[in-house]
Amino acid sequence: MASPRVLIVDDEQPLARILSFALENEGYRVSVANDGIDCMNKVSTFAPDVVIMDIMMPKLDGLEAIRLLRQNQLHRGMAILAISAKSTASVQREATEAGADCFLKKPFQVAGVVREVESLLAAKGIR
Amino acid sequence: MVSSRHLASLSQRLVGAVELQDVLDAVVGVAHSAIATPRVVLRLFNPRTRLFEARAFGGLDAAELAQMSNSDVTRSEFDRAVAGAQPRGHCFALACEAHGGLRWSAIPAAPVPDLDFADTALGHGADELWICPLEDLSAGVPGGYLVFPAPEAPLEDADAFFQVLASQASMAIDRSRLRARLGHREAEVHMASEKLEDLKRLKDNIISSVGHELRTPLTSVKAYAEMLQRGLGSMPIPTAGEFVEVILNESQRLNDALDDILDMSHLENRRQRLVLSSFDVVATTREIAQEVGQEFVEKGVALRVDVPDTPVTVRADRSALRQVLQNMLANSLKFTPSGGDVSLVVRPETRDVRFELTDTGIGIPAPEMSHVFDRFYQVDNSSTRAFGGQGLGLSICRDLVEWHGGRIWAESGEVEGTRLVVKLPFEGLVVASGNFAPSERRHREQMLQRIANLVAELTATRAVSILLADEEGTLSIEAALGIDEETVRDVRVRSGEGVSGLVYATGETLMVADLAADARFRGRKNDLRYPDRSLLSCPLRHEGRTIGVLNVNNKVDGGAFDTDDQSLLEGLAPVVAVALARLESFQTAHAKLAAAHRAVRAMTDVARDRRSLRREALADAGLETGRRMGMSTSELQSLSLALRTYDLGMAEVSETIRRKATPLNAEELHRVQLHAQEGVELMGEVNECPQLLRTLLHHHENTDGSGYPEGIRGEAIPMGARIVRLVDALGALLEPRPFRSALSLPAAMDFVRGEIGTRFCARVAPVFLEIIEEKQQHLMSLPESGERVHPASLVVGDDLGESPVPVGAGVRESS
Repeated sequence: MASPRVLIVDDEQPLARILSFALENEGYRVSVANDGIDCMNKVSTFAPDVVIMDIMMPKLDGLEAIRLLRQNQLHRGMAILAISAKSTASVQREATEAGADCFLKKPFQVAGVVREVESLLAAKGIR
Repeated sequence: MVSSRHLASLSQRLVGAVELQDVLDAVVGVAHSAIATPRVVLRLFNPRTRLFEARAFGGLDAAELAQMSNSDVTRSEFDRAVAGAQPRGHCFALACEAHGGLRWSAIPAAPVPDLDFADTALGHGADELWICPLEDLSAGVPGGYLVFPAPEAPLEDADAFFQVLASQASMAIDRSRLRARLGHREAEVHMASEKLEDLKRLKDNIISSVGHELRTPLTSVKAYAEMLQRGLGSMPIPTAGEFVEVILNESQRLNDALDDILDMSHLENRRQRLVLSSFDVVATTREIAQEVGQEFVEKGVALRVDVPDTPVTVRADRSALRQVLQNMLANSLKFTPSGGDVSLVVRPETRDVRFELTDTGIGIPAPEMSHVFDRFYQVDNSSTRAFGGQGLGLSICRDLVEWHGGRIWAESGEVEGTRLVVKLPFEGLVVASGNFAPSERRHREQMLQRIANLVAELTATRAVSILLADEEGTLSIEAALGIDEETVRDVRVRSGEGVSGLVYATGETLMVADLAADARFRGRKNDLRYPDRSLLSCPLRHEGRTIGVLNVNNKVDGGAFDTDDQSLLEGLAPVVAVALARLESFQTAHAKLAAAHRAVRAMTDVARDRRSLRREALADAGLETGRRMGMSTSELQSLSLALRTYDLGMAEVSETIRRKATPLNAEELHRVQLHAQEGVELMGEVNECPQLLRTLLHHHENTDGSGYPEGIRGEAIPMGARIVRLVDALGALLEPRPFRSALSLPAAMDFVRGEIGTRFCARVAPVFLEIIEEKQQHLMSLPESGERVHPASLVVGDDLGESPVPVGAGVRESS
């Protein structure tokens, strides 16, 4: 089976870099998008199994991007892990309502992100 | 039972009367027909002006109407009249010594010579003048009274009639006022709760924004440290080095975010550390453009700097100005995408330097415009992440600029993007307050700065000096604008010496067209070493004593001073004197000083916002109208000040409402209408002249009673207020509004003409229009406005909407 694909969507470049470093170490294929629009473009070409989506981003924010992804039949099977540094309690609810499968609050442990990605894939029977 | 029939009709009419004016008219109407008297006037006590004001009239001819409506009765005048009067049941009677109503005295034995009681004018042709208080006098001063020549025929049950009339009237008046107040309260409570909600949202915003700003770099620091720890031993050295570098960078970012947050809380302390020096802003601007140039290049945004070729010197805190420019440029860079343009233009103007920073960035939606200088405010919450920062930069700019007596605001760019404008005065205020404790000095400087700015703005002059006398009558400069520091420190003028000394000694205003050519001053030394020749110097009086001198010189337009300027300065002098007196008693009356601060500041804002050559010319036409209507010198002084400050209360109305382009809802409208009362309250803090206060209170009344705040009509509206109404209306019609274009002068005059008898007074409006006609050529030659119209104050004067306006569409619905 080919390596599962993870798309990291975050405008915070150092963070996107370290996440892709960790996930590549685990054997994933990783791509990075810098905002919601970039994400929509990369999704169709890269066809990720999991999307790690930041919420507050320029151009198109994470919530909107999740909604758009969920509207598209092609991306139905894709798992979405939302992440945010926003402190209000409502973010997690909003993300889940928009269609995220789970949510992690920043700052997080990188190992925790890797674990979430693994369990999302396991739930979908990919790994 | 004639009188009982009248009382029944009164009850009936009062039941249907809701508005105060309707109640008053009903009372007067019934009294007039029941009493068989030729004339009746009803006066109500106005707690704001502390005067009995004539509010309803029966049987008066035009001349009498004019006379009565422009006269007021003070409490003590009323008390004195009643004290000497003869009781007639519920009423009091004053006897006339000679028919003609000129000399009256109280009955019986002790005549009061030349009783100063405006209502005596009503009594001509009668033996007695009757006063019917609306409440029992045992309860103190009544809320109002009826006054009329004695009944021609004796009244049946006179005593009972007047008692019932008075109690019915006073109850109906209370009821109507209560109803109006309840309506206001409801709106106020609602607005207050909205404001609380806003504050709560702001607080949540701050916490969430600060949290986000700190958490984001922290996330990276944690993540890289975690990976380093896990890879320890197996990780290639260059990769580890890279990771450490990210950790260092993100820590720095964390530190910067903390600095910003702390900076904000320390800003207040910084104010006391401002150091003024003279420097060239052109060089400073170039220097900063150079420093930030690299960042612009990196982002691909073009920065164009347009500065004069010659140096422009200002007196200011140089590091503060640097920070202002840096923050503004950083803000523009942040919000302008790559490929965009940012231009910074520096231009010297008459009294300030104007910095204009225009970008082609994402722009600011109109409703958000006034908030961009608020702490932690960012236009679009979701974009916070995109552009980083807490939205502190501009709020710091605002504080720094305002501490220099300058101003900063945001406008929409013409096509796209945003324009930030800063006006920084050339010459900061110089205040002599060496002997004061730091906290006191700060208040003092603030107050004096506001006063000096106010005087400069209102009189459109470049230099202002305020001199106060010590116990020996020696004058020294307390505060000055546009005069060098050395002069301020050194000048001492003895009573009678020089211009200021002469004004102090004589207590008379002095207007000098050409100091060098004026024989009065040949050989005398020019006490202030003014660089120019035309000056106006006015005594400052407080509680009957001359305490100092207020000087202005060098008009912005370069012209000589005239009598209009003199009226204005004399109208303003009491304000300055009261404000200074408040300042001196600072420790005992902190709250009062704060109120005076607010008042002076609001007056300055109004003067600045509405300054234009055309507004100025219209105010002059208003003053001339007053002159032709036969107003007295002191009335003209009040009018002159009122013509420039009538929108004072608008300072209390939120920007959002003021600049709203869509029709106002009922609450917002009510909020705007409150500005008349609030103007009076503000002005009342620094000026006790009842004429002025009444003019401000009633400047939105219509002659048919459809105006606000009290809905009084016709001659009951003070003359000054009627004139201000006309000046305000014509000025508003000549300016464009979001919902209509500007009218031409002839079209605007036609509009006013068409509203004579409804909005505008039939006696005053034709005189005003005649003067405008005479000045037409001059008015048409003036530019629309002296400078870009500041976005504030769009609503005022726009209660002209519901009638068809000759051109333009989409007229605002308003009162």
